[in-house]
Order: sequence, then C-alpha cells, then structure tokens
Amino acid sequence: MTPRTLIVIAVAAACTMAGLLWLSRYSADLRAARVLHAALEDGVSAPVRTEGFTAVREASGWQEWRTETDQNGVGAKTVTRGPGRTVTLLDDGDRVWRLDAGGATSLQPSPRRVEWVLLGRNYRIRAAENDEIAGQPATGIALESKRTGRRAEVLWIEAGHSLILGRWTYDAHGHLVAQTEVDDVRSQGYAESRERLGAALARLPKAPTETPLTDAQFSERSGFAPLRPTHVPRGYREVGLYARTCPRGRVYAELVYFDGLRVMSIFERPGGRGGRGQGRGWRHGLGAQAETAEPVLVDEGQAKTVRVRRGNVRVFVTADLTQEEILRVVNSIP
Amino acid sequence: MRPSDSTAVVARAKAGDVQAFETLFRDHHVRVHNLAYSILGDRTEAEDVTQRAFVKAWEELPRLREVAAFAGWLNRIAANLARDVARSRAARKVPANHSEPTGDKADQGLLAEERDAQVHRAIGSLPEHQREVVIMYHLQGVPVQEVAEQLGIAQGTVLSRLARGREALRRKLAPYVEQ
Amino acid sequence: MNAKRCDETRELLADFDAGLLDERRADEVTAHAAECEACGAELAALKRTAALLDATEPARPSRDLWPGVAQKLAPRQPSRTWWGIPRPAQMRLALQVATIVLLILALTVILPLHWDQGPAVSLPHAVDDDAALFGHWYAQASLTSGLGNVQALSLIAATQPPEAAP
Repeated sequence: MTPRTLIVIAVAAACTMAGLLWLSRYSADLRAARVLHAALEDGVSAPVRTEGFTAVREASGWQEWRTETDQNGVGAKTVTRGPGRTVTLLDDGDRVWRLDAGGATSLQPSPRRVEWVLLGRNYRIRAAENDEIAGQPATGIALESKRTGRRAEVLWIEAGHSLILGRWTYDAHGHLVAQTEVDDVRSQGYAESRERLGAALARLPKAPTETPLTDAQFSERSGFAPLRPTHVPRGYREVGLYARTCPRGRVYAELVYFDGLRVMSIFERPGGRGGRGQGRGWRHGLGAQAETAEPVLVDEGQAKTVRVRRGNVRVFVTADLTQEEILRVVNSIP
Repeated sequence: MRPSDSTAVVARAKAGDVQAFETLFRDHHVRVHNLAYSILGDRTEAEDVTQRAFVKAWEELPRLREVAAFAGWLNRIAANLARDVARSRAARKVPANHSEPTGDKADQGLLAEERDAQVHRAIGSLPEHQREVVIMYHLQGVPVQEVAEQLGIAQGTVLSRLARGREALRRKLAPYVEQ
Repeated sequence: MNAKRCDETRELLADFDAGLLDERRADEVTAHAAECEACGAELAALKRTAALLDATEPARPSRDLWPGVAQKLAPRQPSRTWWGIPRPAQMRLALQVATIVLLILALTVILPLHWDQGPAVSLPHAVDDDAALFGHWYAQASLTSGLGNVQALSLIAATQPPEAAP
C-alpha cells in the first residue's frame, strides 16, 4: 500500500469515525432533550411521594437537609428538615407559599414555564451518564453553557414518569455548589394525593401577581431612576424591573436579566453607607472598607455580588458569573 | 487509612493494579457486606453480592471520575445489586433464608443474635445515605471525620445523616429501646 | 406542659443528640427535657438507640471473599473500537493519522470559539450588610425560572429577608 493510499484511508476513516460518533452523540442528545422537555413541561405523570436530601455549599461548608415532596402534576408540597428547623412550601402552580402554624404566607410566583428558545440559545442539552437512583433507572441530562463551555446543571430523570430524581448544580467556574437527590420513591393513589395536597391548596388565600414596572412607575414610587448597564453577558436578556422593599421599608430597584437558566440581578438604592455590621464577611475576618466608586466583592457563593457606587446610588450586581464577566457588567453602568 | 493514601490506592487500582484493588477490598468489604446484609437479611446472599459488587467496581473503575468518592460510589453499586437480588427474590416469592441460631447457644446468645438481626433489618430499611453512615459510624466504629473523608462529605452532613438515621431507627427498634 | 413547645422540642431532639444545635437552642432543649417527662423519655430513648447500634456487631463474612473476587477480575484490555473491528498494523497507523487530523481541526476551529475569557482579575473584598439581603432576593428570582432548583433554593426563599443596613 502506498503512503498516499494510506493517507486517503486515514482521512476517510477519520471522517467516517467522526460522522458516526456525531450521529450517535446527536441521537443521545436528542433523546435527553425530549426527556427533559417532558419532565419540565408536563411534570410527573402520576402522583408520587419522594424523600431525599438537598445539599448546598456555603462559605462554612456543605449544609444538608432532608426533603419530602408530594407532587401530582397540579401542585407540590415540599417539607425540608434541617438542623433545628423545618420548612414547608406549597406550590399551587401560581404562587409558592410557606405554610406554618400561623397559616400560609405568599413568597413569590411559581416557577415559570421554561423558555426553551432562550435556553437553547445559551445552553446545549447533552446526554450525560445514566445512573440508578432510589432503585429507578435515571437518564442523565447535562446543560452546558455555550458561553463558558462548562456544565451548569446535570439532572437525572426517570423517563417513564418524568420524575426528577437528582440534580447537581455548578457555578460559573465549574465547581459543584448544590446537590439534590431522591432516595425513596412511592407512588400514590390519586385519592391519597388529593387528600395530602388538596386540603392545603383549598385553604390558600388570594395573592396579587407581581408584574414588572416601567422606569417611570418605579421612579414615581421610589424617587430615583434605575441605572442600566450597557453591557450584559452574551445570552442574557432583561426580564423586568421590580421594586423590592426590605423589612425596614426601604425600596430597592431590582433589574432582572435571564439567559434561560441563570439569573443576573442588579440592585440599586440611593444614599447610605452599609459598611461595618454583621454581614457574612465578618465570618471570614474581613474588615470594613471606606466605600469608593471602585468595584468590590461583597459576597461569594454560587452567585457573586459586586458593589460599586455611581454618584449617590449604590449598585450591586449579583450573578453566577466569573469575576471578569461581572466586572465588565459593572464597568458598563453609567 | 489516611485519605491521601486511599486516593493513591484507588488511582493505582484504576490503572489496573490488582494488589491495590485487594487493599481496597480489605478496607471496604466489611462495610459493603453490612450494606448488603442489611438489605437482604441473608448472609449467603450478602456474601455473593459483596463479591459481585467488587467485581463490578473493578470493571467500572476506569470510568470513576472522582477518585476521592470511591467509598460512596462502591456503596451505591452494592446497594443497587442488593436491591436487584431482593426484587428478584420477591418476584420469585422465595423467602429470605435468615440465619438460624445453632441449638447449643445459651438463651442470652439467641436473644442477642435475634436483636442484632432486627437491628440490621432496620438499618436496611433506611434511605441509602443514612444507612451507610450508620453502618460506618455505629457498627464499624469509624470516627465522624473519617466517615466524612471516606464519603467525600462534610462532617456536619455526617452528623445530620446520623441524626435522621437514629430518629428513624428509634421508631423501628421501639421494642428494644423503650423502657 | 405546653403541647406546642413539646412538638417543637421533639423535632429538635435528634439534632440535639447529634450535637448539631447552636448553644441557645441546645440550652432550650436541655431545659425543656429536664422539665418534661415525655420529652426527657424520648431523648433517653434516642440515646439508647445509639447505644444499641454501638453494641450491635457488624455482620462479617463467614470466610475470606477475596479469592472469589480475584478469580473474576479480568485484566484491563486496551479498548476495542466500538464497532468491533480488530486492528491490524496498517489500520492502527491510519487511525493515528486520523487522530492527528482531528486534533488539528479541533485546535483551529473549535478552541478559538471558547477563547474569550479575558485577563484574570481579583477584586478586593469588602463587608456589606445589604449583601445578605440581595442573596435572598437573587435566590427568589432564580427560583421563578422554569429550571429553578426548588429544593436547593427553598430554604433561602422560605426565610425572612435579612435586615438591610441603616
């Protein structure tokens, strides 16, 4: 065989190999996308009770809680038990409520439908390693950021019932920051599920829906106009402007940006210093710094918060981005 | 075993070193056997599952990403195999062959054996993550810090899983703990 | 005895026994358990459970299981191609050339698409009481996305927002 023939064979073999690998990968990714879509669009196909754990990485280390969830495709009730506390949440499809002895407190809107087009623009849905969780076969699905090239989330879904059995969350640097996993699954009858959830759902009061404000509406309410960055990371789009009121009654602007999976929030308020105090930084032995117009990092977890001053307005950008990306946003605020 | 030694041994086993794998076997087989026994309640089946779990671990070891998570990964393999056996046994409607005490044991010994068997069964009914820390900490006497290092989790997580495990076992073992 | 107090204490007993509570809560549980017979008995039962577990012998195999494992360990083989075609010397050379071709393609086409990281930056740290408040609101905003991890964010969302700085 001549060298030229050998090279032709090599190139042909390479192309065929690449083509076959791509085809096999593509069909696996397509199946993964279908499983994810079914799980998030339709929810569980039958009432089910799951028990498991949720672990979140905080500055002091991993914190773990037990969770019990009853879901039936209409609503979901989650009881979370941690060291010294138990929290019960109820999602009626419209709002998420906290239930306690005093009744139901509306916390925020229920999770929206997934914006598949926006998600697809910024993330690749890839087949990941399958596993067996709680005795159930689990299809692994990874969401890879097109911007960073890294995995942002990996989910494990029992495809037969569209049940999410596990979930690992990564930050912008690719570090694992949260883990959720089910270790016991029990099917429920519809009657039993209605009894568990229906009574709680029926007792909920009406709650107002939160809608974004226009700049004019916000200025009228708060007395200042929000500042917008001229640069946002690739793939993020503005969702809306909201007025947030802290327990002391002060109004903050929150500009929310979204890329299909991750949120970037820009909080603003005029005046104040907020220097020394009992903020999280004290646990790290950090001292207070005189506030300047230069950006400083004031919080670091799954999301980072960078503070900067613009005139008499204090601006905080909170996002799951690298320091370079968040700095580019901060520096573009006029 | 110090964690640095352990991860080096796992790495060598991953590369195909059978002696290193035997070291891992010696260090982990009692725990794996306990996990299987707690699910199956039958020593013969537990021994069989233990052997199969290590053989499977050997085959899949090249695919293990986090070398430091070897113990937890091995536990998962064993628990899945044990559950498969329990399921196929239930499908065939074959009762578990629980170990019978020998005729010449004293009454105290019989009671203690029955009590131990009940404890193992109760542990077997726990969720996986609670089961493995209860076995390691209480049955094998592994200190909290070492349990955390072997499973690749925080000490607080170990304590939290122990608390939940004990809470569940207190109810399941009520005849033995209530006065 | 206050039934609500008993219910609250009952939920904390296992964590108390494991040493997970902070000093204030631990003192409260100790004080209540000393006064309340039912809670005191429950705590004692938890301790007896732990003692019972400690006293239980681990189940040991009846024989050395290693020989049975060792004889089933197949030596690690270099992986065959997934379509199962064996590799004569010529094919091996062709595959090596193909790998080089693919590597060149990867370096010239795929890698530059991810090459927009910019220079490494390290921002100075500062303390700010508002940071905890924003972390809380950020978590709530994240939760409303269709892919929000309800379990992971539920504890943050369920607690009161922290006080803001004056």
